[in-house]
Amino acid sequence: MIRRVGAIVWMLAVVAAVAWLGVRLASGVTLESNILALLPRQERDASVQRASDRLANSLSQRFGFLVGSRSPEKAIAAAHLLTSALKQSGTVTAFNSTVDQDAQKKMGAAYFPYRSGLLSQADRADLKAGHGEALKDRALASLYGVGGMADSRLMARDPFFLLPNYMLSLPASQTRLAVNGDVLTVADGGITYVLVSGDLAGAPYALDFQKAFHKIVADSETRMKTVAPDLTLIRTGAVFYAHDAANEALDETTVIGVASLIGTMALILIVFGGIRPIMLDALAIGAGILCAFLGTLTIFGQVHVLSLLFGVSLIGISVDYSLQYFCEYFDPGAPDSITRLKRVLPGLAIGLATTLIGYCTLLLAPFPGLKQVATFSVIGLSVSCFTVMLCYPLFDRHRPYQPGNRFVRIAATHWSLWEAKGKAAVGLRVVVILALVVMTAGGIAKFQTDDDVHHFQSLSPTLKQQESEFARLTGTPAGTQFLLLRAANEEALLQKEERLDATLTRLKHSGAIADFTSVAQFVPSQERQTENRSLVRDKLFAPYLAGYLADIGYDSAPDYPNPNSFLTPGKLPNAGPFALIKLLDVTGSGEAAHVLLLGDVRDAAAVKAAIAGTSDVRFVSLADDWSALFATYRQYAIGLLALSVALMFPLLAFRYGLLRAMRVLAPSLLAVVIAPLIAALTGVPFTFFNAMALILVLSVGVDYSVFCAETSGERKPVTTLAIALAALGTILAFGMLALSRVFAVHAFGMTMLIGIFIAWLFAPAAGANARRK
Amino acid sequence: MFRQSDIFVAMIVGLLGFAPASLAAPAAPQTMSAGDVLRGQFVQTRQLQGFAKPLKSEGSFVLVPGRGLIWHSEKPFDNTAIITAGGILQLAKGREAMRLSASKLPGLAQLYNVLSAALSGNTGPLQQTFTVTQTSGNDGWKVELKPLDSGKQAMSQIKRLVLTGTRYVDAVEVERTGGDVDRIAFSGHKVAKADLTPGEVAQLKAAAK
Repeated sequence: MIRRVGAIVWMLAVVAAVAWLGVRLASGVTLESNILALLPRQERDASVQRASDRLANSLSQRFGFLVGSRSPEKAIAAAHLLTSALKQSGTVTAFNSTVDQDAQKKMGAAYFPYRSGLLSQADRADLKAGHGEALKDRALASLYGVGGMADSRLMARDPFFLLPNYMLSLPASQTRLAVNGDVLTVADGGITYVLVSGDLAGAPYALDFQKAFHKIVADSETRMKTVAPDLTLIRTGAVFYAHDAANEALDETTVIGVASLIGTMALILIVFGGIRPIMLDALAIGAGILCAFLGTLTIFGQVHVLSLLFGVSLIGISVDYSLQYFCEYFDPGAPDSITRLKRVLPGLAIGLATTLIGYCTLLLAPFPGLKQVATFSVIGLSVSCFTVMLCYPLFDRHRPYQPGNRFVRIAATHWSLWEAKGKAAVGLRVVVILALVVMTAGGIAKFQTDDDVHHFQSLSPTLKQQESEFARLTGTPAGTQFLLLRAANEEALLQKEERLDATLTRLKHSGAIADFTSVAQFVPSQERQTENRSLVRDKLFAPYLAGYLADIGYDSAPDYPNPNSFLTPGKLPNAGPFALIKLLDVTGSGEAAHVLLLGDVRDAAAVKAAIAGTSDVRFVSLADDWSALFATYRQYAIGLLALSVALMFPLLAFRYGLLRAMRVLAPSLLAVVIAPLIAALTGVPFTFFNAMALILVLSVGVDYSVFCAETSGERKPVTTLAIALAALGTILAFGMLALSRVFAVHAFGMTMLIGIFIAWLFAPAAGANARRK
Repeated sequence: MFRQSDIFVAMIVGLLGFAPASLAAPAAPQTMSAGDVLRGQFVQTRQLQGFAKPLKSEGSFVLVPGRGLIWHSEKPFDNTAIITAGGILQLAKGREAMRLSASKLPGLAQLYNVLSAALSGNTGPLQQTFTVTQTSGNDGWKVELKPLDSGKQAMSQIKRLVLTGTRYVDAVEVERTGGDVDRIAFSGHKVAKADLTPGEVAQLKAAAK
């Protein structure tokens, strides 16, 4: 009676949870697809983290199109179409591809009051070298030049036209693009490309936003083709990769989920030959996954697609509990549901406990994404297992099978492989072990680690190709490499940047970097402004102004004041190229810090060597940083693996005694050691993701040994059938992951596939002589 | 500042150094075909506010459709400006004094297109920026350009442009909003087939790169 009440309460709780999940799903769910969201937010000093975050965020918000056609007019018309569609959709906050005449004016207005302290590098060099006359000649040329490059209004306020020259020397972002009306264009191979680029209004990794953005782009593309039938559309930006990745992951989740569900169901149908086991199985799995989804959503507020992907493969593990139960059908000694449950209960409890230990160590990993995977799995597996324990006896009316079932007979050979004393069995054992030794040896030779973040997230080759085409056409290589400068205050930072200028210019000439952009290029330090003012006064105005004015017959005194204050970055408006300054300023928590962007670093070693002598300057490469983190956490995962073993061992020792506990652990440990080596043989390098898979191999593999250790005599073949079905189910789920195009998922799947196979193969060997204490 | 309007004036002066058929009709239409080179003399007088006397310069020009304009001032001192779609190069006493690439000059490529279109008889793009008024009499033709409201932003410094001529453009007058007036008179027009000197070819190349 109590049993019945318990089962009904449990069922009602599950139904309530599923209903609530329905309500949550109806109100919309955010699926996260950025693999970098898996990364921890520590282990780095705060300003590097802040700079990286700001830059990575801002870079991921960017998008760019090149709209190409043989006819420039059609390309421009198509580009306008795209721009206005994006503008109307509200998915874009700002365009940086439209030439903002207003921005030019605002820039000029901001600089104008401080013009006496602003000199281009070339003018500064000329004045320092005493070549003031060259500047005078240039001013004359401007005055007398074709169409009159200079007019009287400028003449009255900047007689040597120094400010226009300073502004022309500012870094230009898109080097190959030319201004054409209100758009930027580049012609290449007979095709005119128009740039449409800007910042997204939403998070590029949010699925809803991706969908909305993608739809607008697709609709616009159709309409653009009516304007320009020969349209070439080149796109770049995290949002496209993310969309591609999310699509991929979702497709894979669906395929893998459906395939492993169908496979598992088919397996049960074939072996148990009835519809009721399938229904019960679906109940346990469904309750587990739905509750896990709800729990993850409630705790984290969103679900990462990777959690979903790994979570769906839970089907393969949670089915183990049902299988243990169903296999009791083959045991004539367990005629009714209560006896069946009593028999499997110890195995289920220890199996669940060891598996949860494995997943709980994942919770300890400081990776937000993995915490989700662990949470998802812990909830899902617990709910599945409890459903088996509480509900199965209620619904199970199955009669035991007659002895001598052919599946049981086949499964029995698995046990005899490790127990039989006959020559054939011994020979087979030797062959199996030799084969493993040979493969392991081959694996050792090919074993290598890989932490390169590029490999982990590389997805669509088409997008990659478009990105490099975009970089080539616009002359703006997307760089995630920069120098991080720190100092006591902003002025000290600007001075530091000015001192680095010569070094960086040298690196640019030697080809180590393509370009660099610093705040000081837009706002000289006060020290530099003071120096410039005296250079202009002493080396230009004093010796040349009077003669120059006399030459041209200018009879009033030009107004070229030295104001009391200086230009500082805070005084510049957020217009045109100045918007960059906000991005570069990463000052925070009582410390001034600037980012100095490096364009297309070809020789990182040369850059590091060149800045070695300057204090408080660091070379930061986001991709390298991420790779280094993956390396650290690969080692961390190995630590977790050891921790898992350490946590499982007392539990096993408590039940089986020290020696037998070691025996129960041995097959899984063997799998953990050999699986990466055999995977290496198939060309899979050892990454953080393989290490994480090993934690699961351990916890799932121990289950098999535990089930074998919990069985004896007559029931041995029944147990081997159960673990064979369990391993097959797990392989059906994770073997599918090995087919994934996503490198991380593939590596994870391969390791699981091989590891689970080995753990299964050796499981009876562990249980053979292990008797309960 | 080197405003778009300044460049525009430079371009218009240069490229309309002869009268395009569409603008000059009905008086003696004169168009150039590919490979033609137009040479001539100029006298430029700039009346700038605050200057006691106008700034006067003289020299010669070479116009090569599709490639650019070489503007060589000889008096009061030697100075050459080479204007191409790719950028502007200024030589003072034969030495490079200033270089501006098209990427730094808002509008250069567009203006090039507008004016090239005008030269080939398509005044559509031109009329998006200016109101174009044409008159013609016995002594030649006159074209007046006034910035449209829509083109004001780019042409904020220009009040009025007047071109007069017979077969070719003989004079250009540019009035600016600030009160400055530039006048350029052309003479000795001569059209020839591909007679660029190697020096001129090199100059055009250097400016375009």
